[in-house]
Amino acid sequence: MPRLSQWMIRSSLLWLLLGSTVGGLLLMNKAVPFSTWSACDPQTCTGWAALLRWLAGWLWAWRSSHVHTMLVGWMLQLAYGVAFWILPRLDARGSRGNEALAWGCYWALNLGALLAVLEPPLQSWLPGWLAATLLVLGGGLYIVANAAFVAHAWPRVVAFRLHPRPERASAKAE
Amino acid sequence: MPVQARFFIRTALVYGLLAFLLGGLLLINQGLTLYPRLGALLPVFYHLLMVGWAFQLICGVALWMFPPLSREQPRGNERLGWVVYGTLNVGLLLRAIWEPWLAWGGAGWPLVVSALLQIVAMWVFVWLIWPRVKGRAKPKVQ
Repeated sequence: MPRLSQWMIRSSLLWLLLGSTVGGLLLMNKAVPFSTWSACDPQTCTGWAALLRWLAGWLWAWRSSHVHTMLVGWMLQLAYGVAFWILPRLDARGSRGNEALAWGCYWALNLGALLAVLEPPLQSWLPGWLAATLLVLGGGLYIVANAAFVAHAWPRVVAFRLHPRPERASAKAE
Repeated sequence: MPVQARFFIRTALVYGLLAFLLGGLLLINQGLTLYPRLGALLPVFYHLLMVGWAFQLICGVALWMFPPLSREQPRGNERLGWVVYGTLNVGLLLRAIWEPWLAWGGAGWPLVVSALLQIVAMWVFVWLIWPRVKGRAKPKVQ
């Protein structure tokens, strides 16, 4: 497995850890709201009870982050990582074409996902212009990432073909 | 294809069928407004599709096709693979039953168990597959 695929697949697994944990907490909070785990008056709550009450409200902001984490960080990135590994090579030396484009996709995708995941839970603390900037940057990076991967992969989507071995190719050239 | 991969992939295919059956019914219901309470099944549809079908298919194919861990244990600790299979499917079935039940006024605690089981399944899967994400071993120099 090439180095870039290892990076993409391992990063996607890290996103899976985050996404599954957030998803699980969201489901628990939906089933038995954390605010009900400790009975106290909302006006005078302190300590753990106050923290649980606050967490129950804040978790809801992570819902769209959960979607970005699982769809982009985990699944899309895993698909790209595996595609970079198994799509047909371009020549007998095993070239995978323009690898810089695929690396560009890796960084843009992860940075874009990070911004898209962090914006909703941080939104209430950020000034409006900064929250909007994070979303615009995240969206732009998603577009760049996917365009870069399409540009990388397009020439590799070809019919089965046999390449001569490099030694024979060089011998013929001589 | 190893037995474990066949279990994952066939179960994923069954979930795919169930998910699209449910998704189709939800669309029909939305168009004809037959039974409004069916709307509570929408999150179940999403998770049957993305966890039951997509995630489970990925597990099966990855456990089958990723580079072998070693000559003695090509697919790592297979018992952990069965833990993933069991916790994922029990967790997802609990969710499929109790999430609409909760929306219709039922108890929610089985969903806490479901959430914990699904988290365990995904963390164990990462634990199992992580060491198999690797390049080709370099030949030993004699």
